[in-house]
Amino acid sequence: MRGRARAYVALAAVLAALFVPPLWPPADDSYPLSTYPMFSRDRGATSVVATVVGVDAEGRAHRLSPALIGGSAEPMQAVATAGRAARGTAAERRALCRRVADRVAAGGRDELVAVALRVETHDAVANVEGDPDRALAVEVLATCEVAR
Amino acid sequence: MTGLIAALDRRLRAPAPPTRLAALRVLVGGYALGWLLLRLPHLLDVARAAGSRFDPVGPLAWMDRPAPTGTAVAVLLATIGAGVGFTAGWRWRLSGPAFAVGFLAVTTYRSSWGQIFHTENLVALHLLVLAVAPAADAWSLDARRRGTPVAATGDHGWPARLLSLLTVGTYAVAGWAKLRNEGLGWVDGDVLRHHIAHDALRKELVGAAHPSLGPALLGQRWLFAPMAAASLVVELGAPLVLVVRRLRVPWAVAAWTFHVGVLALMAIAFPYPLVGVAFASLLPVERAPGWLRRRGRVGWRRPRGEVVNP
Repeated sequence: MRGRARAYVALAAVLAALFVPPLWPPADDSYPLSTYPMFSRDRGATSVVATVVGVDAEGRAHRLSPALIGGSAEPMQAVATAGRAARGTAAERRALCRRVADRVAAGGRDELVAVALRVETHDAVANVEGDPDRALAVEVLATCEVAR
Repeated sequence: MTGLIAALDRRLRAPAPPTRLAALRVLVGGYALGWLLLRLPHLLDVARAAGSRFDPVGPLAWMDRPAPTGTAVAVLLATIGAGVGFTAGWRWRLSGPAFAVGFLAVTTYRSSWGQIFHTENLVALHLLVLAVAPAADAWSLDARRRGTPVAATGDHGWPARLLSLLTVGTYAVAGWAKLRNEGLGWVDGDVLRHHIAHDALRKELVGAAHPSLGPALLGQRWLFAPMAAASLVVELGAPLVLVVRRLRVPWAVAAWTFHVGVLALMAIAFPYPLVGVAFASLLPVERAPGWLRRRGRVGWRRPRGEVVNP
C-alpha cells in the first residue's frame, strides 16, 4: 500500500509539473517548471537587441565578447545582462557600463577607449544574410571611458 | 469507471525488473554528473557572479540576494559528491535525494541571472523521480553490500513510466505553446525563420560566433514550412508513444533528429536528448549490457545481487 501511495503521489506531482504552467500560465517563465515558450511566438522580421560595444579613439564601434559583456562565456547570459540593464534605471545602465569598461581595461583590448551600452534595431533576416553592423537604428543608453 | 481506473493502475504499476530502474539511475545520474563536471568552470563563474544581476526563479525565488560565494561553491561541490553516490547507488536513501535536490539547486541558481536555460529542466525532473524510487536495488554498491537479489515489483515499474511521461509531456507542452501563441500559422515557416535570424543576430551583437547552418539557409524560404511542420508533428505526436509501443524507437529517432536540426540551424545544443539519455526510459535499457556482451564489445560480469529479467 505504501508503494502504491508513493506511485500516485509521484504521478500527481509529475502531472502538475507538466500541465499546471501551460494551463495556468505564470506571469514569467520559470525553472524547472516551464511553459516552454522558446520559438513559440513570431518575433517578426525586426529585432531590437541591447548590447555593449567598445569604442576606439576615432569613434568607431567594435563588437566585444560574451565574457566582456556578461562576465561568462555564455552568449545568452551576455544578451540577458545587456537587455536587463537597458530596461533598468540610469544607475543600472551606468553600473553595467562601468563593469564592462573595467573588464575591457583588464582584458587587453588596447584600441578601445570607451564602451557604450546601446539598443540596436535591425532587420534580422537582411542583416544576417548581409552586414550585421548595419543597423536600422542605434540608441546609446550609457557611455563610459576605459580607465588605464 | 472502476474498470478503467483498475486498468490504469495495472498499467502504471506493472512490475519491471529492478535492473531497468538501475540502468536509468546510472544513465541519468551519470549524465547529470558528467554535465556538472564539464560545466564546472562556468558553474564556478555563476557562483562568483555579481549581485546586481540576480533574478532568482523557481525554487530559489524566495532569495533576495545571491548566496555567498563560499556557500554556492560548497553546494556545487557537495552536489558533485552526491552525484557520485547517486550514480554508483551508494547510500541511496541519502545520495538519491541529495543529488536530485542539489542538481535542482545548482541549475536553478544558474538560471537566476536573467536568462532561463531550458536545457536542464528534464534532467532535473528525471532525477527527482528517480530519487524517490528504489533505483539502487540492482547494479549498485548498496545491492552488492546487501547481497540478496531483489525481485521485480511494481515499485520498479512506475518510476520508468513517469520518466517517459515527463519526456513526452515536455515535447507536447512545447508544441502546445506554439499552437496557443500562433495557431496553425506557426507552420508557415516564417516564425521559425525569424527566430533563426534573431538568434544569429543577437549572438553576433555580443561578439559570439554562430557557426550554424541557419543563417546560410535564410534565403531558402521554402525550406522553413516543412521544417516547422515536422517539428510540430514530433512535439504534438509525442504522447502517442505512451500507448503505441512500436512508435517509441521511431519517435525517439525523430526527436533526436529534431535536436540535431536545432543544433545545426541555431547552434543551440540540448545535450540531454542529443546524447540519447532523455529517451532511455522508453526503451528496455537494462538489456544493453547483455546486448553489448554478446557482441563482445565489453567484458562484462553479472554483478552479485542482480536479478535475471523475467
